[in-house]
Amino acid sequence: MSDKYRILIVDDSTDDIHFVLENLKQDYAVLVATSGEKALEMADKEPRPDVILMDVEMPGMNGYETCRLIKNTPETSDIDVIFVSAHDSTDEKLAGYDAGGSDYLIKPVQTSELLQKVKLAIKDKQARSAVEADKAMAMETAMTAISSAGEQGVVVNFMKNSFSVTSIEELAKLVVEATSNYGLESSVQLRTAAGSVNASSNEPIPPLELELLSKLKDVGRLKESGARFIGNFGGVTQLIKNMPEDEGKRGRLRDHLALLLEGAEARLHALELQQQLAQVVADSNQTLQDIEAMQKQQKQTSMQIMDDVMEQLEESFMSYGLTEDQESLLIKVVKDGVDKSLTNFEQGMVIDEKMRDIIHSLEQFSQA
Amino acid sequence: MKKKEINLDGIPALPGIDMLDAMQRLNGDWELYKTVFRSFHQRHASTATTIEAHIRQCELESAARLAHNLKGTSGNLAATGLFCQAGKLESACLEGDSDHALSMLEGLQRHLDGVMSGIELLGDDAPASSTETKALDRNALSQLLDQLQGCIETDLGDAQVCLKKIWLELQETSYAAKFKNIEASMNRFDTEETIVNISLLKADLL
Repeated sequence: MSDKYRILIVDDSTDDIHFVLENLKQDYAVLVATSGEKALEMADKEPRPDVILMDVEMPGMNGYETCRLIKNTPETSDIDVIFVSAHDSTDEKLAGYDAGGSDYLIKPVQTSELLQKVKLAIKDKQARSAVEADKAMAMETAMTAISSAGEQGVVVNFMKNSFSVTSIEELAKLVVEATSNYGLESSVQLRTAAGSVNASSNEPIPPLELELLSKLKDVGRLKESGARFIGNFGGVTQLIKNMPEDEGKRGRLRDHLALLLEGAEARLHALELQQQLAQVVADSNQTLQDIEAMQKQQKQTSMQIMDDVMEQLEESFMSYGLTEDQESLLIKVVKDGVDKSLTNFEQGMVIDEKMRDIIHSLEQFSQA
Repeated sequence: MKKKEINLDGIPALPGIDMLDAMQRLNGDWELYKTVFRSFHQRHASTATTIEAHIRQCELESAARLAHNLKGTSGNLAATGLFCQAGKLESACLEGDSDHALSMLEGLQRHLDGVMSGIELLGDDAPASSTETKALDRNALSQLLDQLQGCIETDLGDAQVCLKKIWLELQETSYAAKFKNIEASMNRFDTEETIVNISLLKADLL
């Protein structure tokens, strides 16, 4: 295939065609149509002409009609049409302009003028193509940005949703779900001191996959091989089996997945702390309840001891032959001691209340 | 493109034609010029008579169209006098002035006759009938014909180069007449007929 620019001459006069052809054939690939109908057929056929030199007066479809049809067809609308006619009035030129022509040459055409006009039309076409290419590139960039924004949205949504999960199981499922938004099938393992939690887009998780997840935690932060991707962030390991081939998309997804796993790791750490704190609170609560029960028991025992002491004291008065005042004084001394002891107990209960307040606050904090 | 120096040595002066201008328009290709001239002779031998008939039948639009075509082609041929006369006649027809148009017919006929007489002096370039006397590389010719067929619809300049190479092989052989058919259909820019003629020659050759 010639890489020359292509010029289509449309004229019913073969004699006239020769004159134009002779002047263009050295620099351009020249084609000829001897009617408007044939011109339409040739303009629509690949490789399409870059410029058409169109006669106006032709039997059947004239040059203006032909040009209008070419310009109204999306596939051929970009072809420059230069009218070549023996008509030299302004009205005719306006008609050519209205039909979509870009220039007008008067027969007999001067060689230099013909070459100049064709060259100009080619130059314009090149400029238009360059603009089109720029536009296409700008559009592609915009589409990539929009698409990337959509992809980043998956990470943002994951982060947002991860704050409302209350268990590591939920978090594992959320990682798999977010990854599936990229069209990726994955398995994930979240490890804590208490053990590991697994989730997969392919439930139930095949044993081999589980085994791999446990083993792959040591292969490095990000590792890729073919369609496989392994990500390790702290206690989070992810295995993906169907990474895309397109290098651009693959690169973007790699970045998004790294962010997602980093977020999952942070959230896992927070959840682990939260769970440990909840355990501490529960343990403290239990201890406090035990102390309270022991205190109650202790109080009751003390009260009983005091009552027994009082009873034995009153019984002993009979044998000592004390006066009524002496008995009253002794009873008052013992009662004051019992009262002080009870007050001391009551103060211990206030400390319990304070401890309970602290545990309640911790409880609320651990649930936050 | 740089304007080619035109050498008019050996080229006859033809009545009504600015030969230098004409030859410049066709890059000094005298053979092509003769072809175009003969085609003009065929197409316009009776144009003046037809225009007159249209004017007399008050079909001034048709008369104007014919005068317009004549003007265009004669301009390209550098037939300056005929070009001017055809232009005036076209204007008269477009203005609807049939009397004025009729009065100009005589002048048009005179200019046309002058050009035609010059063309008739050129004679015919009919190929000499001959029997095949030289050895032909039929495979190479077949390839050239295939190449020609490929170029017909993509690049007529290349097609003409190819045609010349074929002629160098086939002139003064019994295939010259069939070659001339290809050349004639190419000169009429009749792609379909050219392809048929190429096939016929190929069938004969192989």
